[in-house]
Amino acid sequence: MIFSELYSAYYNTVAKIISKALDGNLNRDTICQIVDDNAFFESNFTILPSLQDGSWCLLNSDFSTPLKHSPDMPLTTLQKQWLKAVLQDPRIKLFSGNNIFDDTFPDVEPLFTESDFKIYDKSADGDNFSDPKYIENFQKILQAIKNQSFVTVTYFNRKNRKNKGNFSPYKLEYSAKDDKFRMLCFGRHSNPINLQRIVSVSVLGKDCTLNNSSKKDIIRELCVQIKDENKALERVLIHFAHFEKKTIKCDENLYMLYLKYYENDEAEIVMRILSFGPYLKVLQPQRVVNLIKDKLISQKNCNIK
Amino acid sequence: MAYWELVKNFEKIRSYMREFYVYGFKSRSEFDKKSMRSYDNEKRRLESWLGNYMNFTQTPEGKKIFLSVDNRSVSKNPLYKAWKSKSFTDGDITLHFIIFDILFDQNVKKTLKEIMQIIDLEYLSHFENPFVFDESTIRKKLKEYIDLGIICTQKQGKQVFYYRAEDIDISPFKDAISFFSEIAPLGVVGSFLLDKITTNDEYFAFKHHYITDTMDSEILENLLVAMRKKCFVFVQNHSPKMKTAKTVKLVPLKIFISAQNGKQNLIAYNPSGNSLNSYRLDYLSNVVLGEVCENFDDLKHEVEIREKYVWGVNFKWNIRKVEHVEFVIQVKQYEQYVAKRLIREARIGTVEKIDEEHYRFSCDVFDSRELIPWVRTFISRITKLNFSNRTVENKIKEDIKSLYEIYGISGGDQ
Repeated sequence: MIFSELYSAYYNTVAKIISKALDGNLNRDTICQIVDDNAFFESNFTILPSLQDGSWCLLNSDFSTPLKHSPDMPLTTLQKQWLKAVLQDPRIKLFSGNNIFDDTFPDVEPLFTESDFKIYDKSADGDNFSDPKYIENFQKILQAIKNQSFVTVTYFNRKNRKNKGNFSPYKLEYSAKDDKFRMLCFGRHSNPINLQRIVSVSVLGKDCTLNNSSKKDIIRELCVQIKDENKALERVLIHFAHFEKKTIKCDENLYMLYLKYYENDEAEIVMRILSFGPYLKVLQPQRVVNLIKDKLISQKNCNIK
Repeated sequence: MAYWELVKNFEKIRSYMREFYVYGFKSRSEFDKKSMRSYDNEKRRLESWLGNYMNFTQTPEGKKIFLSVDNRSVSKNPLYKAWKSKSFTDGDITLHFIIFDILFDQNVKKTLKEIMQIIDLEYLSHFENPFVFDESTIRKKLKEYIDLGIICTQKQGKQVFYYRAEDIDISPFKDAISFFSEIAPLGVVGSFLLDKITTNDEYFAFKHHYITDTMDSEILENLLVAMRKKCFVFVQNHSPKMKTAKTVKLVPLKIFISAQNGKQNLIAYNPSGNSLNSYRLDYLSNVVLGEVCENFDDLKHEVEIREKYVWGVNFKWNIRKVEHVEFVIQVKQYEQYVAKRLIREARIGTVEKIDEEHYRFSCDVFDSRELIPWVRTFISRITKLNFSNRTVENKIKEDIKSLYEIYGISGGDQ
């Protein structure tokens, strides 16, 4: 069962409190801090009193504990089954490299297999996660991120020209829709680089914290009017759910959606809005309105047969 | 009953989470639920669990609460916290930690009587008003843990010895768990694993990252169990197409996931209608396992042979009932990226270069309406539409006309 107290924030928090008690470093303030860091906003109203008043017989009044060992719990069958399932995902090679994880949990059935699912609308040209060179580059970049190192990367740009440069990567970004990884780098002029375009990576030993300001992504706000016909409202709000957004009801079937998007993604945003046809009307920013108008004028000139 | 931030049943909070995260424009009085008190309690819980992501707008109709996350800027799904809110009794938590303290190592094996004695003498004796755990309570707790796979038993003669299950070091999998907890099905289980490793490492970011399915994790888990066991399920379907929720008997066969809107659909065989249907997981509740379905493998095969006619999630039993779709787009020499997009997004269709500046897409599908949103993304360059279902073709043309009116593009032709 996924919904179980065994996985709860409370159990995890109490485990940490007991560990601290065994170290002899526990007091009221420490308990509050552990609860703030690991549980919920109101958890101190329950956890602290329950431990102090003996409701939970786990702490003595002097903050010592009758328990003798730092609490931990074996993996549940559910956890093993999930882990077994992801260890069979083709992308696991990015993390295992030459190590084979096949013999992990030999007696456990995976929670799911590839044949149980289909992602029906992802791009057909996803990255080749089995390519040894791709795996090698991935692992080098990941290591560089962990060690905050520079890397020298040779890659093909969008115009298919070979480039070479030094970069300070800080994250690997994955898109389920594109099924691709990109390397995100510090530095004002560093655009993300698709890993599929990378030819080679060399990790440099330098500490790159001197230039650790990430390129500031320009964020714009879109204002869209939604006409709730044909269940458009639900479809639009689900489709744009991954953005920071706000929705206001204006009328029985009319809503306003305000969402924040990255300027670099503007062309994609325009396409996604057009996919909803006449149920959406962009009000702001004017540049997006103009982009849509340009497309419509272009379409008029096509004279659909 | 006094308010507590934890809950016994996730279903209670599920619909509120969805309302606040996906919609977020209803005021307290507009909630179509049992009572205002229920709204107040669930809102308070969500504010406690997800405080940073809860916002509100003040309108004449009242305060409107909404959940908002820019998923690209977070490495860990914040909604997973809701799955860590299960309530328990004082006895549950006390017994849990004491049992695993007694059975601290796999080599420590104790009988039920021994465990009971140790609990009283070495643990509860420290307290003035301790619990009294009877044999039945401890036996039930141990049985619960055996079912969860964390306690094992060994029989020696007539005696049963309890010991903890083998512990496995998952730190070699840390990076993989960190990644897959965000993109694999039931990623919340990965989050449970990460809680054991105590890592704040955030090496991954996610674009086009939908987390709406988080709320349906329990439904998905139960369906996967049924699929593993090749069983029927009884499930409540709250589809808005029906006036009231209806319990249906189904054979769950496959889960279709959209990377472009995060929706999860169950593809299932409905024996009462002898049909293959799709059911949105966010409309389902109360999944109950039924008996084994003897022809499960045959039904799964039927899904697989029909997939080549499915653009989205709409299946049909009759393979001969397909609709033909064709459209042509214009692509200038310097716009080859558009042709590349057409090809990589073609799914079950085919793309053919007609001449230097024109490409044709074609496919045969059960339901051509499912292509409408994708065809619209090529507005600006569609030169020809040819759908065997003329209603769908005309709908696209009418929509384009409507767009001209909405944006003030003069004239009536497409």
